[in-house]
Amino acid sequence: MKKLYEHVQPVKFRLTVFALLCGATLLSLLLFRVRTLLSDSLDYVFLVGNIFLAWIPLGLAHTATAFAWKRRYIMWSVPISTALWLLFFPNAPYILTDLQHLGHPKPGIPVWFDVLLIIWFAWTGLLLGMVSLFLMQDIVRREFGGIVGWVFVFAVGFLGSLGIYIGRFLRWNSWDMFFNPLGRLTELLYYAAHPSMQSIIFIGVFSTFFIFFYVTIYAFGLLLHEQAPKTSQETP
Amino acid sequence: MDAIKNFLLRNRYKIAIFSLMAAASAICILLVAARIAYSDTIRYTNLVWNLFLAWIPFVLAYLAYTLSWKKRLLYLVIPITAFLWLIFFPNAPYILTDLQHLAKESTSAPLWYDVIVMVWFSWTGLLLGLVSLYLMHDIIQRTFGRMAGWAFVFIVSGLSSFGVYLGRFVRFNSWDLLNDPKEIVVTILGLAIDPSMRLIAFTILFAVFYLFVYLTLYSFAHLVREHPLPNPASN
Repeated sequence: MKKLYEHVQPVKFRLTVFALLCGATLLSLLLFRVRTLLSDSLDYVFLVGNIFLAWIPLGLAHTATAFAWKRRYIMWSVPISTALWLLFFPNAPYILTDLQHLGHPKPGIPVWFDVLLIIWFAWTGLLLGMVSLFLMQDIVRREFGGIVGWVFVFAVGFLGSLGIYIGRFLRWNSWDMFFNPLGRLTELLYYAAHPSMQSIIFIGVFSTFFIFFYVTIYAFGLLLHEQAPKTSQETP
Repeated sequence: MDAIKNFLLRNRYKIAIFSLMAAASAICILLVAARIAYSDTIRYTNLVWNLFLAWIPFVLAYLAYTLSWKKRLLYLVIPITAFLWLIFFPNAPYILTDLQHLAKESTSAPLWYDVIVMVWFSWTGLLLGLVSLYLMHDIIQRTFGRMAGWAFVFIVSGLSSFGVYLGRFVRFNSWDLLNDPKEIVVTILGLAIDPSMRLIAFTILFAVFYLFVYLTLYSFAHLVREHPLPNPASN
């Protein structure tokens, strides 16, 4: 029992976050279930698929963290898991854009319920993304230092928004990159050479939102640190 | 000079969050201004007003937090600011319910742009609320202990969700309670005696959502804390 406690103690906040996210996912699914029962329809069923996809980057980030402690494999395990993570990462904040389905109201269920439903899914997805980004930043920070860690966050904020744009407007999936990587890359280069106004605004505003949000909750963590000296006596 | 420097150093993350929230609000207003310029309609200007209201509890919490270090004032000023804070607090998460305006179809701007505008506003409001809740949580915890602190968070989540309901469906404002307390109390008692299904479902779902976000950010903050930080004393 004591041994178990010693194992859990150093990672207790990691476990708490994990448990909270599991609970939130279950609640989101429950809300969706209630909606199907009340309305006898499968509206918003795509949210279920999207929340499942949003879990993949967190799983990959935990895998990468586990590998990063094994120094022997680090040179090849971390780049591979980072690339995979980056490919699936946009799925987590992507759910935010599902809010646009509110623009086409569905009869039968009051709008406020659908608002709550999508908020539950969207926030869970966003936080899944934030936590996985934090785990990846932690790996980068340990290997290359704090500044590189923040450059990584900013780069991911931009690439993630690019990924969301590709998913939302070009309707690609993360796994398309496995099936037709060359064709997809050429297409992407073509779009990059002729960016539309829509893509510039969307990616610009979304990356700013994302980076701002991450920096704020990070600063919120440090705010708790400011208070730490007063409470640290009680919890040695 | 040293006193100011020390003060800034000691409170640098509170100042950082304050500036971040100010910058986010500026971006929100800019996004609405761009929408007005583009579409020639004044849709979503009420969001700016709601954002302003969301700032009130945030500023009150900062004020209460600063005053709470003066032991002499603690029992006089804190109850007053805490009470005022509680009345205005629901305005912050309230902005989330403005998402329902997306359901009113509008052709004056692309839907994806409206989604981004709403996301910026609602998340800024939510964060303003969470940070101010944390500051109040900290005051209560320091004064009355850990259990009281968490009880406070749970109670405020429940009360504020009810407050959001009152604002959204009964269309009350925070200051109605100061103007005409009797009518508000009668209405609330009426709702409490005979609650509708909508009231129960909305309040519970909103309160649980709010608690979930707060708990997640709180635990996440402890993850961040495990990062070694430069010691403020050494620089």
